[in-house]
Amino acid sequence: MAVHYENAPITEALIDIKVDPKSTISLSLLESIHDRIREEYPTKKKGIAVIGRFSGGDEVGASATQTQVGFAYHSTDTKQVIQARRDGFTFSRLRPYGSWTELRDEARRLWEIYREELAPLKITRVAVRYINQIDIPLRAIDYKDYFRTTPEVSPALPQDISGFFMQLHFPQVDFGGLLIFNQAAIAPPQPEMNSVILDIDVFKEAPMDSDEEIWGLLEKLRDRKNQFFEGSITDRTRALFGSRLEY
Amino acid sequence: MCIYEFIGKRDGAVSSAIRDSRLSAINQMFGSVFWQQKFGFADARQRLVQTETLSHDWDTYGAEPPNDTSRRVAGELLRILERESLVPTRLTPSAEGGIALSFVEGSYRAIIEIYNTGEAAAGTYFEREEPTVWELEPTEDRLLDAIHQIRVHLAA
Repeated sequence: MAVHYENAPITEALIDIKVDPKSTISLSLLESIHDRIREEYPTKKKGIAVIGRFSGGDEVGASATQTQVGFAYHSTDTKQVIQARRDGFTFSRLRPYGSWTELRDEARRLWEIYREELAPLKITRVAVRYINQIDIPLRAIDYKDYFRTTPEVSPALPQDISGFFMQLHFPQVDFGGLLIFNQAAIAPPQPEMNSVILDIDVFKEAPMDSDEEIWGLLEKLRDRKNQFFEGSITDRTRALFGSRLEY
Repeated sequence: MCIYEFIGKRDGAVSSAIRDSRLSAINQMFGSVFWQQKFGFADARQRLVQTETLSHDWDTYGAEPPNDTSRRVAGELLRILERESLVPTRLTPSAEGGIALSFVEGSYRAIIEIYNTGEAAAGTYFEREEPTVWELEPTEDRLLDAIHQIRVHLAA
């Protein structure tokens, strides 16, 4: 069962496919993808990865270096982004979200271009990730009124918290995957509000040979994402999303 | 939000495991355009706060440091930019006294400067061509207009 909300809180939905690349893949070859999609995705930006170095003791501090790992191609309206890397491909749809069908079909079209240009040796990881920003129009809230998974503060401690970030890992034993659940309080878009991110990333790491295997698995990942989203919110939160359609 | 943090000083094994999980968390988040933008704005806000430590002649050429007025307007501009999903490439103190937010896409550049008087100006640049510069009222409508012009310029 899937649910469609009139005002879905989805701020980003993405499909990510990681691969074992051929050793000869260069950044310039990644640019050949842009040649085939330039009309719909005209803007090209560098794609970076963060490599962190943390230190303590006498040399106190923290630093992170960034390295270019590919390119990000943005659609004309900047709402769709393809991140093309040597080791994989991510297709993102930013707010306003359309539908799973639109996301999946465009990701598949672009994946086929990526695969034709780069001819990866095999697929190693497939993921569906939905990032929801839930804006609650109240200055002070009890998170438990809106979310069924929240940080639990000891009764022996003050209960007022001004922010949090939580990451949980849920093994998905039935299909050999993992679901990473990020939940965080962030600055709201307007004062007198509270905003919480529910970031649900569900994936499977395993060698895959066929495209049919990928797209079949993505349907299962999407269903699992839906289950975790619906299981994480209360009816008070659902009321923020407008009308609800189950199908 | 900032998830860089100190690691234990002496226990290398624990520090290594924590470091690896933190790096994994950071890279997992960077896979998302949404979080990339959030990190960009968190970085910009951190730089804005850091301007409070500057004093007169901070650039050795007699520049005045940004004051609370320019910081307040710059903070408001960051809020609007975040809502519009346009991350500034850099936020720096301005030698004119105030805050400068710059945007760079290859050879296409733009800047919004907020002065200590609370006034603002914007400019777009492309290679050696004559820049387009205009003053703007630091109101939400005018800032949105400037953001739209800058977005179009950067995407050219």
